Amino acid sequence: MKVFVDAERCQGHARCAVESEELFDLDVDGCAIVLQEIVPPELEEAALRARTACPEQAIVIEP
Amino acid sequence: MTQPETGTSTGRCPIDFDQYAPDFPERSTEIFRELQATCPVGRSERYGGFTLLTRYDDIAEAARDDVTFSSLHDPTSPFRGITIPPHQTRFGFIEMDPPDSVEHRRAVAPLLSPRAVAGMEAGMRELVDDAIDEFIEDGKTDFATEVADRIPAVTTLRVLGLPLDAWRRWVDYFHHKVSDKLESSTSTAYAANNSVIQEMTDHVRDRRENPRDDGLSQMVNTPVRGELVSIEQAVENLSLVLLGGLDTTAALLTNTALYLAENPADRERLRADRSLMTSACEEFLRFFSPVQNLARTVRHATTFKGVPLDGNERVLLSWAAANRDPSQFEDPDTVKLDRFPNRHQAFGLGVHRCAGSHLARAEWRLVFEAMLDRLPDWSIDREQAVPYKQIASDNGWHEMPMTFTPGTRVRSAREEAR
Repeated sequence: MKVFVDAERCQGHARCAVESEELFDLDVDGCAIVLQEIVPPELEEAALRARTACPEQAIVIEP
Repeated sequence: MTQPETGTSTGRCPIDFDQYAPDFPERSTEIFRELQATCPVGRSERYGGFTLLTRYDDIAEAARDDVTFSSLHDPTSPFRGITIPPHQTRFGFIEMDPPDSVEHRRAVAPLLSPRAVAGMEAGMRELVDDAIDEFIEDGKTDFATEVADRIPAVTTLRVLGLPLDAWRRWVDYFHHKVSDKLESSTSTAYAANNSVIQEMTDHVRDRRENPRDDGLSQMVNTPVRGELVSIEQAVENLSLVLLGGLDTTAALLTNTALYLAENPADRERLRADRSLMTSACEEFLRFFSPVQNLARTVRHATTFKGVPLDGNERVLLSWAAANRDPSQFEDPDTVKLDRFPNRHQAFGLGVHRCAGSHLARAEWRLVFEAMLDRLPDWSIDREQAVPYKQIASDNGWHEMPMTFTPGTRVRSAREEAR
């Protein structure tokens, strides 16, 4: 599984980092920075929850 | 594109909608539910006429489409910014469109970033403890004035480097601006007599001439596209930061305190399991929508959801309605402390999303961690509490008397430990 953030859509709600600080850091405006593009198996559920939590639908997951 | 159906499901229908009506606060949930079902793109003739959006998906789409739905406030044009009716003064970069709004926001965002907020937490915790110390031995206080007004105000003034002892005067000014919006947007006497605008201008000029190590100096001396912004523009941006910092968080705090007083089972659940604090904060944001709505102006004639909208049409985006939309939220009128997902629009969506959201969440968490630790049995007599005259902009409270089992002060213990 791979995770990306669509920078055009992300507006810094910071909801993804709540789901996983291992996968997402936040920049100066709260916008998400992906820390690990290749999601380790133990973080796959957190990545999916982050995608669901995002109000801007900015998180893209590839199997 | 589908054709508008005859009847009620699509098409811009006339509605008798007045967000300033005296009975609106108690009826708003019912009104929004009906409009979502029967007239999601409605036209009210009040306040110069405007189109009202109430569905979650429609509001999300409009909020993200800055090309069609402009936030610009130019008093000489039909583009009258983010409130209906418009304010006499502009509120800085929230009343601009990209790229201007984005450029101006860059001068402010670093002061309110997640990292900046994390650095402020220890100071904020002491601030909350000190505020509670003032009344903890009395067994009673006014939560609105002594906590909900004070913590966000002092925190915001600290961020900017403005004198803290004047916090009550700043709070009164901004509360008035939003709590009786009809008066504050029409009364020239009110605007002209106000010393707070002069005070803001003096602080901005001072930071321009004598920059120092504080947030306001950083704000007013960060170039926007290579140039310093005008003093007038800098004052507008400052008023936006103060409005956002002082008023909206206060409304979130008072409404949460009242809900938890009236729902002790939820309060006990939160007290016992602090891992719920993060999701609970988002749920109170959703449930109360401190900023109830913001407006846009249609740039060019367009068709939205099958409904023709004229150029210059004013459009009201109701975050409060979106946040109770049953198509997005299961059981929308119930507070669920662990709600997931909770893609609420309380901070708005799109490029104008609230820049102070990270600070607001931290303030909420630190206040209620301390409340749950130190006076977990507070009660509030709703009949004695004084809500804002109108909730159309911000659903805050002027007064909220509270009683509780007295406790002990922590400040002396803290100082001894040092």
